[in-house]
Amino acid sequence: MTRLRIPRVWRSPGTVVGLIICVLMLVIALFSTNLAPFPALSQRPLDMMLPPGGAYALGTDILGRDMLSRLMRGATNSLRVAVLAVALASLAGTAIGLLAGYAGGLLDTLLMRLVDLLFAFPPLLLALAIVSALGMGAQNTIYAIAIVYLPIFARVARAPTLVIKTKEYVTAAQAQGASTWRIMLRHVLPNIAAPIIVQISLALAWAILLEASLSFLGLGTQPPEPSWGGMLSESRRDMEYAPWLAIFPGAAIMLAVLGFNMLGDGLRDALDPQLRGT
Amino acid sequence: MLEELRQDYARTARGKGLHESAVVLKHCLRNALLPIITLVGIQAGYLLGGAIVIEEVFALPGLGRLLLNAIGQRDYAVTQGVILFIAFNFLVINLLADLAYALVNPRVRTG
Repeated sequence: MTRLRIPRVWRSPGTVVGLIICVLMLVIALFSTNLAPFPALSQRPLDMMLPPGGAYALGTDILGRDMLSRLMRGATNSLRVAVLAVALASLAGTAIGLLAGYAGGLLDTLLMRLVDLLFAFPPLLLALAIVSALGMGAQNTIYAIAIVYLPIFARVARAPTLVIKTKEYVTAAQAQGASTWRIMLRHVLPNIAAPIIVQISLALAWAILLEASLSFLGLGTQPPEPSWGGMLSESRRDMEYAPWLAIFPGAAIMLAVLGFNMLGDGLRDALDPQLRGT
Repeated sequence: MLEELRQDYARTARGKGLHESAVVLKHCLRNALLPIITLVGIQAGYLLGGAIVIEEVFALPGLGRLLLNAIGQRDYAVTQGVILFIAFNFLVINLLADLAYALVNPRVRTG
């Protein structure tokens, strides 16, 4: 009888809990229209400001909209921005880092100085600047967050590329006459994938937080579409006598950030033993 | 800090009869401070960004509110000015962090 072997990654409870939270969030985000008990945008003035319990599990807001349904639709909006932004950032950042690291010389200097330039701005400030230049809205928030996280991916990709390109198997591939593109994509990229995957999970957590900040400030997802940051912002005025309006969006942001962080930390411990415990 | 206390030089310092507080404060703390200083530089960025949100939450009149109002009114001159000012502060903080490096650890001093 063969025993079931659990890969090392999933042996730490934190990673498993993180993965469960992430999968749960993504499922809610993908199927929010099917899962939500009420339409997220429909207003029922007679049922306004109901506390949690009864027909509305998490209560209703000032326009009589169901909080649970809005949180689910908010997950769709917030996670869509975060996931697309991180996908853009990781693709472009990895490409820049790989190219700079492998090409070296003037191109490396040029690209990495550009990346340093982006690093000179505090993250939220850079995102604010980009959104103010492009205009408000979810679409531009995606570009803003992508540009904020691009330099991190460029650096994470460049450092191991410098090591990998001196390895014998790269020299062997060059000797065989493989094209530069082929070496970069087939020989170098798979070997630098581990730190990038870890960075994707951690960046997702930060991207959710950044999207919430921008929406909170009124620059991200525009009402009436709900987003966690926007809901938190709307709840401020009525927080004293309707605390559920603030608590649940806040808890949703916290849970999502916690989940992606735990997953990222777990993946890092498994893929990069040197960084364990940092 | 825990790792630094286990290093050979800490044992040497204790061996030559130094007081424990001298070992901890003068020998180990200096070495343990390096990663903390790096973090201070990075955290300053999140702090400056966080200040904008906090000012909005508590309606504090500050640079963050000025920036948000300017963005709302499409006042690009003020937006640019505030963003460059905060970014400049961030750079100065990071420069100070790098200089503090050399202050606590003579090994990174050059020339």
